[in-house]
Amino acid sequence: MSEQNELMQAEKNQIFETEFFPLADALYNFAYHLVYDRDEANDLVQETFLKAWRFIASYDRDTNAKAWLFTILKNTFINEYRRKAKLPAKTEFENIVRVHENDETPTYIGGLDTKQDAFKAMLGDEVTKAINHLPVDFRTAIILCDIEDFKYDEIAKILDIPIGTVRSRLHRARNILKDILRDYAGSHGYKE
Amino acid sequence: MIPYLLSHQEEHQSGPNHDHNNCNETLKKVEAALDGQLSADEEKDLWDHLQKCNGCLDRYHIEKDFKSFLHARINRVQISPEAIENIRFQIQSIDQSNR
Repeated sequence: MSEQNELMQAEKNQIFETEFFPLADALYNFAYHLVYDRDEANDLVQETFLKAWRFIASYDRDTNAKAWLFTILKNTFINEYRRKAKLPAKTEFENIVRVHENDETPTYIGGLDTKQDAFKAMLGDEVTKAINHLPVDFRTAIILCDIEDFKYDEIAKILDIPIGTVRSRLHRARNILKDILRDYAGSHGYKE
Repeated sequence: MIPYLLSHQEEHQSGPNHDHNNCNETLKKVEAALDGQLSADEEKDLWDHLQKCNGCLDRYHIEKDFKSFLHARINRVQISPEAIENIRFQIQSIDQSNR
């Protein structure tokens, strides 16, 4: 291997160690919420890193590593995993999803005080279950915005949709989540 | 406690000359504000309204709390160290075969 090749290798390794591998958990979390299977999620993340290695020449070090990797992962999911993905059971809360899925209704905020015991007592599992009931397009928007703190233009690029669609999906996803969590808080005996 | 289906005017408590038409526009901006998407000018306009309108301000705080609640409560799964090592190994294998 020529000296120049060795330098390029060293730089590639450095990018991976300092910029890419630290994002592995975030990528795995996103992958898991797409395929709901730990082995599949591992495969998806591995495939993402391998593609990143192969196509490192198209990565601009001044830009956002996280957005670049998330875009690769999302595209890999669409192209190779979507058909195989295990979907969570959708029967529960199906009516709530349907109400908001196609309509951008204004948000009702009654009963939504998250400082109340009803919400404080909710475990991460209940909230995660609510997220898992979102249609995949809404779920990805919420994860990218509310967990990974991407901005609308980054989300638009990762998901390959217009910014207006990002805003609309977030609004509808949040409506669904509010209804599901409010329903859960109500049905578990917590009174307002 | 406020039941779900009060109209916006009923939910609001604000001054006698308050223009509720502005509130609808304001509330659309609250999500964008919490997502860090407003320009400095737009944020200033928003806060000007919120300072004059208790209803919208309450709404802002509820939306803010809900976003924080989601961020804090969603379970995050983590990749195993073995999986990372496997990825490193796979990458090195690509290199080996290219030499």
